[in-house]
Amino acid sequence: MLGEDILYLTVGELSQRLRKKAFSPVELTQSYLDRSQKLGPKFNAYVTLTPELALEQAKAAEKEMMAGKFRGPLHGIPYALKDLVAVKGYPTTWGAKPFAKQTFDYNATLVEKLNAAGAILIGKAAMIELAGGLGYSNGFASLTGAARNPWNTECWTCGSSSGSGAVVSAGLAPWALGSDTRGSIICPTSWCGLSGMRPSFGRVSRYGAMAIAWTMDKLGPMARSADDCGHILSVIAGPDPKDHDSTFQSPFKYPGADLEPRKPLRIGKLTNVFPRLDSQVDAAVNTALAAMQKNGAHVTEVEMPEGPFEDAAELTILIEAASSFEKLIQTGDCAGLTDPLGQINGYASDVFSSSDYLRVQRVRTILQKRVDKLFDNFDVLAAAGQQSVASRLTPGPRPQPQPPAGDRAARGEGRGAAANPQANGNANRQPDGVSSLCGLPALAVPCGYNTEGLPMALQFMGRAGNDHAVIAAARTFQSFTDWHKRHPKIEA
Amino acid sequence: MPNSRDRISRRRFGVRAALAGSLLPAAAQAQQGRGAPLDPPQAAEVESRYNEAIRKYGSRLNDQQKQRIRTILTANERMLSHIREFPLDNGDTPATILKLAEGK
Repeated sequence: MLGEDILYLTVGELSQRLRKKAFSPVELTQSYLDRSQKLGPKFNAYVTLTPELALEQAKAAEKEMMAGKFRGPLHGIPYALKDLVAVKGYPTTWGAKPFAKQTFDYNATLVEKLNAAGAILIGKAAMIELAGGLGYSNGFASLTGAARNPWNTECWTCGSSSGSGAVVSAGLAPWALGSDTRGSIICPTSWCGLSGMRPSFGRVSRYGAMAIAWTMDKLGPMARSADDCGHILSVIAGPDPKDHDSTFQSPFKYPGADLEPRKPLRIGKLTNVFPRLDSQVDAAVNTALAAMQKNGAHVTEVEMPEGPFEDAAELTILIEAASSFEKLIQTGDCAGLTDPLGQINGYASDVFSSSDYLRVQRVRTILQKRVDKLFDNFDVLAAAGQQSVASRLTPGPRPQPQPPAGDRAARGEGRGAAANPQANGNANRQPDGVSSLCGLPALAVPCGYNTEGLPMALQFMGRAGNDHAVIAAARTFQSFTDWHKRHPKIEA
Repeated sequence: MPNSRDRISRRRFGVRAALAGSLLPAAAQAQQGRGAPLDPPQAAEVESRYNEAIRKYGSRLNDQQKQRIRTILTANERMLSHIREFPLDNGDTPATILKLAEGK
C-alpha cells in the first residue's frame, strides 16, 4: 500500500507520477480503497464504497497507460462523489433515510464526463440529508451520522458536502465532488483545510444530481490545490442540453501553469462581512492579503453593496426546495428525515405564494447588477472562508454556538432565518448569501491554522463567468505559501 | 425626482413608526421572537399562512411541531418584509432564469 507521502499528493502530482510509472492506477486505487475501508468509518466519510467499479476502471486506465495513451489530468486518478449524484446501478441516497434504497438506471452527465476522462470512482461520500434542502439543525442530520473532521474528530466538517470534506482531508481520495446551493462547498472546504471551488452558476451540468434550488445549485471540486480545481473543472464543466440551466456554450479550458492573473491583480477586501469574525481567522486573512500585496497585487478595501441579498437567497432556496421536494412533503415522507426541522420545514414553505417568489426574483435581478458592478474595479473579492474554525459537534436541536455563515441552516429555525443580516443592516453581509444568489464563482484555500491546529481559510470570489480569475488568484497565493500542503495526523 | 430605490417604503416607514412608539399589539410582540417585530398586517399574514399550513398538514403534526411551524412562518415573514421593502419599478423583471451578468 502506498504511504501518506503519496496519498496526500495533489491530482497534478499524482498524474505526473502515473505518467512516469512511479506506480500504477491499480496500485493507487487499491491504496485509497484500503485506506477508505480502514479509516472511512472513523470519519463517517462514505455512504457507499465502489471497489468493484473502481478496480475495473483502474485496470482499464492501467491498460491504456501501458499502451502510452493518456486521456488527461484525471486519467487513473481516484475520486469520491457526493451521494446526490446518480451513478448507474449504485445507491444514490441523497443522504436521507427516505431515499436509502434509491438507485438510478443512468449516470449523471458529470459522471459520464469523468468516465470519459478515465477517472476512477472509489465511493459515494456522505452528506447532510437532502443537502440541507429542507433545513437542518446540526451535523448529525445525515443518513450516516455526523461526518467527523480529520483535524479534530470532535469537530464537524461542516455541510452539506460533509463527507466530501472528510474524504479529502483524511487522505481517502485526492479529490471529491461537492455541491453548493449556499455555502456547501466553501464551508467544508474551509473547515477541513482544503482547496475547493464553487464554479459559476451554469458552468457544470446538474443533470442526474439531486436538485434543491434550480437557480442556485452548483457542483464543484474539493481538492488539495487551486490548480487541481482548475484541472477538475476543465473535465466536469461544459454545455449540456440535458440541464436547462447549462449557461455556457463553450467548454471550460484550463491552461494550467500558463494561467496568469491580470497584473496587477486587483483584490477587493470585503470589510462589511462576518461581523463576528474570529480574531485568529481575521489575522490570518489579513496576513494572507498582505502577502498577496507584497507579491504585486493591489489590495483595496471595499464593501458589499446594500440590499436584502441574504433574505433573497434564503427565500429562493426555501420556495424552490418546497417544489423540488414536493412529493416528499405532500406524502408526508419528510417525517422520515433525521432532523426535526427537516421533518416539518417543507410544510411551512408550501404556503409561500407565487407573488412572493416572483418578487424575490425581481429583486434578485437588481441585486445581481449591484454586485456585478463591483467587478468593474476588482478582479476578485476576498474574505475569510468562514467566520470561525470548525465547531464542535453538538447533538440535539440547539444550533451550534458559532454556526458557519456558509451553513445557514445550522443557525436554527428555517434556513437561516434566526440570524437575519438585515437586522444589523449592511454591516452584516454574508459572502455566501451574496455570491450564491448572484451565481459568482468562489474558491477557498487554507491560509493558516489556529492555536488548536484547526484550519482557517481565505476565499476569492469572481465575476459571474470569470472562473479563471478566482483560480488564478488562489493559485498565485499558493505559489508562495504552503498551507495547502499540510494535512492532519491520522491515527489508525 | 429621486430614484425609487432610494426612497423609504410606506411599509418600512410604518414599521419604524411602530417601533418608535411601541405601537405593536401584544399579540404581535409575542410573535416577534428574535429579529425585527412584525407589524399587524404581517402578523395577520403569518396567522393566515399558519392556518393554511395546518389545514393542509395539521393532522400530521403534534402541538410542538405546530408551534414550530408558527415560529418558522414568523421568521419567513421577516425575510419577506425585507424583500417587500425593496422598491421595484414596473419594468423590473424577475431572475426566473438566472441570467449571468457579464459586466460592461
